[in-house]
Amino acid sequence: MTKTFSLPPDSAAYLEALRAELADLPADERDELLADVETSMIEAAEEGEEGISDRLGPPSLFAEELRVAAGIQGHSPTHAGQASALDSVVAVIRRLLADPRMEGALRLAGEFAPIWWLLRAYVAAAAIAWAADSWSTEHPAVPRFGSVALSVVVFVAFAAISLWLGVRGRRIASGTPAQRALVLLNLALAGTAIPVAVHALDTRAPIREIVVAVPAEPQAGLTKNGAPLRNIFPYTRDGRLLHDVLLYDEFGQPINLGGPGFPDPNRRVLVTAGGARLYNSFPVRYFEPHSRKVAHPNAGPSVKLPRVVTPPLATPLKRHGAKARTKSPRRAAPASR
Amino acid sequence: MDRSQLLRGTLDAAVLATVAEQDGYGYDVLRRLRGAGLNDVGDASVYGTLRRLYRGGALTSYVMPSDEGPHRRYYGITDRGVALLDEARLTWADFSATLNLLLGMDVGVTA
Repeated sequence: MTKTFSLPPDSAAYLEALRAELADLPADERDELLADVETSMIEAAEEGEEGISDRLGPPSLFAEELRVAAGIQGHSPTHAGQASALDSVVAVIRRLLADPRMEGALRLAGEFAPIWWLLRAYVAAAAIAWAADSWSTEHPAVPRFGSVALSVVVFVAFAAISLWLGVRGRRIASGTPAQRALVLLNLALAGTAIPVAVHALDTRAPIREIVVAVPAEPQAGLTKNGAPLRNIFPYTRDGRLLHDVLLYDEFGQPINLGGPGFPDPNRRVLVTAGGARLYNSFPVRYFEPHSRKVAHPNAGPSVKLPRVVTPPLATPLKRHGAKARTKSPRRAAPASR
Repeated sequence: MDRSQLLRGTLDAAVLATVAEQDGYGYDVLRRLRGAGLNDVGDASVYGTLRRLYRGGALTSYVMPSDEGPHRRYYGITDRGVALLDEARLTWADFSATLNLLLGMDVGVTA
């Protein structure tokens, strides 16, 4: 029984990646090509070589070189639509990263990777919150899942996963499907970070409910201080209740109480010669039910009338019971000359 | 002068010469080439070249079972391979002599 010699995991992954890159070749040709590679990998591993993909470079480039050296048609993107758009993007990125000038920048980026790991956990949580529009009301940039406790649990879980992926990702060979998936995840989260950031910047002020006291609509009809009036009782300064006083405002408009829209069969409404009904005469009087008789024409609220001492205006008012003394000269009785 | 281009142009001859000296498997040929001074030759280049030369009939191939290690695919040179190698020697001698003159080099080339 021959011994089977297994490859270290990253070498095996590399080999699989190569196999994928050469998937368009006939099986035996591909196997022959890769057999040499596999053998050398095993020997290299036995000799204690590490970092196979660092030594060999990205699988796609390795596979390309294999093809060229072996005289096989190159793997062009126009070939039967083999390479997807993602592959092209990944290839461009890889070529960029392979540039020796990027080494310093990459090393620096590697140092800061843990910060990105935490940031992407937040972005992942925020992405869900953004889709579901469930943010904290206190801090609009903080996602909220049900209760505060649950939100904390979710965020801690995301952070843990992200950190684990970050550490694990360091050991994944470049070019493998696993690495490709990780790159895709990072790109997706980086892309999602944009709307999340827009949201976070947008809603800086926390949402507070403001109760605005909207003044009530002015009441139609006769009101005093917002409350409807039922009647007005005009008295003279001498304490006499007036009847059928017509009231007008400063615009000459009648101050109506009620109107045609509020017919009250018991209300005593004054009528003009032309048949118009007046609703601005006060006090408003009501008939006894089923009659045309006002029961108490002098009725009024109990009012304690004040003693007015201010001298009256030019036109004196009619006194109760007394004949009017007007300034206008009485018409002289026709005298025979 | 672009080393990688030069390498690409001369790798066939280098591989043929190495295998002609002694049969070898892929990794072994690679090691020997590097040991001879071609440090920057790529793994993929060597493996691909071996396959192509084999398919072109310049090399034979056989598998050596092994108990200490994995089964190794050995390559050996054929008559056709020898002929190609001789041709390559002539081409190289001529080309390098011309270029030496052109570049004003004092090194003589022994074919």
